[in-house]
Amino acid sequence: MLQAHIDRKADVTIAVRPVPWEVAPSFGIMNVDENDAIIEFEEKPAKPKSNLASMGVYIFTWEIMKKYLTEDNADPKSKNDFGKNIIPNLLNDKKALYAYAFTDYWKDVGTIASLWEANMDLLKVPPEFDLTDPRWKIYSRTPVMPPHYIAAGAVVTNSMITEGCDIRGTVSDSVLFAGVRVCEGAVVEDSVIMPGTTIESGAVVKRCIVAENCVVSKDCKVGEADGDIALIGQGTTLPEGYVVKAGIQADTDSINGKEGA
Amino acid sequence: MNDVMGIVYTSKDDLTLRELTSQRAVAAIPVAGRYRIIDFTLSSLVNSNIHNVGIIAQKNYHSLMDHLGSGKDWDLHTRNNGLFILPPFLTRENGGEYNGVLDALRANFDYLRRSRQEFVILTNSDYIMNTSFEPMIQQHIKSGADITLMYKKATPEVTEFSSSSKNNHCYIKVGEDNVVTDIEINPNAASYDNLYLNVMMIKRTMLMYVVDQVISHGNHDLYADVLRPFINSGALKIMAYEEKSYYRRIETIRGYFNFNMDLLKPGVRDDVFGSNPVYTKTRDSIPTIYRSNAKVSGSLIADGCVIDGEVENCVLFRGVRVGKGAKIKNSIIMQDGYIEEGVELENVIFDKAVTIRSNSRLIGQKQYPIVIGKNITL
Repeated sequence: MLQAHIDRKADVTIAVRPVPWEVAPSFGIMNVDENDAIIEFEEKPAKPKSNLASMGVYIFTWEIMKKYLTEDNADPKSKNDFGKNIIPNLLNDKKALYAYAFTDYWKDVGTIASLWEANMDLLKVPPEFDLTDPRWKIYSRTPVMPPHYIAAGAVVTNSMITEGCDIRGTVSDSVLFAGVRVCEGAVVEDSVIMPGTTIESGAVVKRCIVAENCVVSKDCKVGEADGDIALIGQGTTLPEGYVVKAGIQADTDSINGKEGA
Repeated sequence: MNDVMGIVYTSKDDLTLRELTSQRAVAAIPVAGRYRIIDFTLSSLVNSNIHNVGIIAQKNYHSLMDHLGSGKDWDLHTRNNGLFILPPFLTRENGGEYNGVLDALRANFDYLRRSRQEFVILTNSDYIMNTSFEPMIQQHIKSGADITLMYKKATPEVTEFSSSSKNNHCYIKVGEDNVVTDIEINPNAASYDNLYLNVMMIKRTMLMYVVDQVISHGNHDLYADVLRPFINSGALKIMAYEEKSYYRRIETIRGYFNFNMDLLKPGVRDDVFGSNPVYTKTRDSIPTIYRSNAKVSGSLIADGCVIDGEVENCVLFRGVRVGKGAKIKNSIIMQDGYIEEGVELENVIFDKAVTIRSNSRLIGQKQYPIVIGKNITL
């Protein structure tokens, strides 16, 4: 992208991604000419003329960025927004704005369903998004924890499991973060379990995101094999036998109020 | 911060560890899925607020240096203190190899002189123990001892050494008020059940004095030439501190194998990892992927593995691949091992990056596991 910016002597290059036409009205859409020069920018158009969505990644030539930010800052009527002010001003001044089409894996994880899907994408064979390239590592903070332990009697298939986990139950088609405990007789299916959470014995978790440091107590039923993704908010301890139906979001407040189901 | 520095001696008596030490020091042997033996000693020191640590390296220290780097993974990359690797070097007095710990300390006298801490904890690094040195430090200071020796009750599990190995196994007699009154070095049948753990605390200036005296009289043995005469003559006040944490010395293949297998017991994992964090060099691996044919039980598995076969009672290090239809039992597979489809393994230890081709079979004995050296393809 940077090389394309330099080669075209662009002032601004904006990363774009072709999206399905039916979802295009929910993105900032770039209309380009045959050379990928941007001729128009439309924020969430009702009738999109193109399906190239801005990914929110820009490369600016430094002088241009400084000039337009300074001018924008001096304009009392401006909303100081890239999409609403800076990009339209650049277009009005006939600056060289180019789109750069990115076609590799890209997922906006702004909803519960898409966050869940992004995790499930990692489990496909071959994965839609390959994290295993040793020359292109994804760096992160490393928790200081021992390797994970899979007990005798545990069943783990088609899943990702990381350090500090202790698995005694059944885990399938799921992504488990550091330090998750799945007790004997517990079942985790099609789910994402975030760090430090415990799934107690007899609990069944299906199609669910369970956030950090939760306790899904004995015999809870969370989520369903079909239907929308359920969500348990950070730090929630579900009482024994509690039921959370498909698509329901439960947290400490909701379970103390009325039945989350 | 404690007014204590650490000196870690990486011993060179490693013949009983066969292939595992042909290219590396004992301290650098990979253990427990993602660690090196020295990680436990270093983490215990750092967790005890000791931030000036010298590592006396012996031959084969490349792997150790590679692992320790700048010391940042142990928070030992500070400006004034931090991590100091002290490899042997050729001088007029030194032939490029240390003749024991005293010789090594004599060669690194400047490091001792330059350090500012009042006390030194001098320790070997051929054992697994995750502990705090704080209680020993407190006892040492309060008792006014010249030297404090850390010991542990010698249960059969703790003393399971190979019979041929005589690697400074010392047993001490502990009298009233924890005063050490006798020491036996490498006895066939020990008279006392207190095993010295090769961890001692001493004032830095006194250590320098002792090293200088002993070396200048042509002696070099910490145990026979320092501890035994001082204990017997009573010239120095030598006290004992009883350590109760889990402790295993790694001196033989069997000991190495048994320790890793021991970790598959939940009680032992709590003992080793439960109290304080154990730090190690990080590798930024992704989580381990279990495929649809995976069948894993009773095993300790590090990150970055891809498993599509059967794994029972094993320790798998980072980046191990187990193909479809493979069966591994009671085995230790180090980093980047590749077990292809249909392979059958039992009681084996694979060093790093061993590949075993499809449908091979390798069965060792529990008492004598098969060891395959680094980078070998079977």
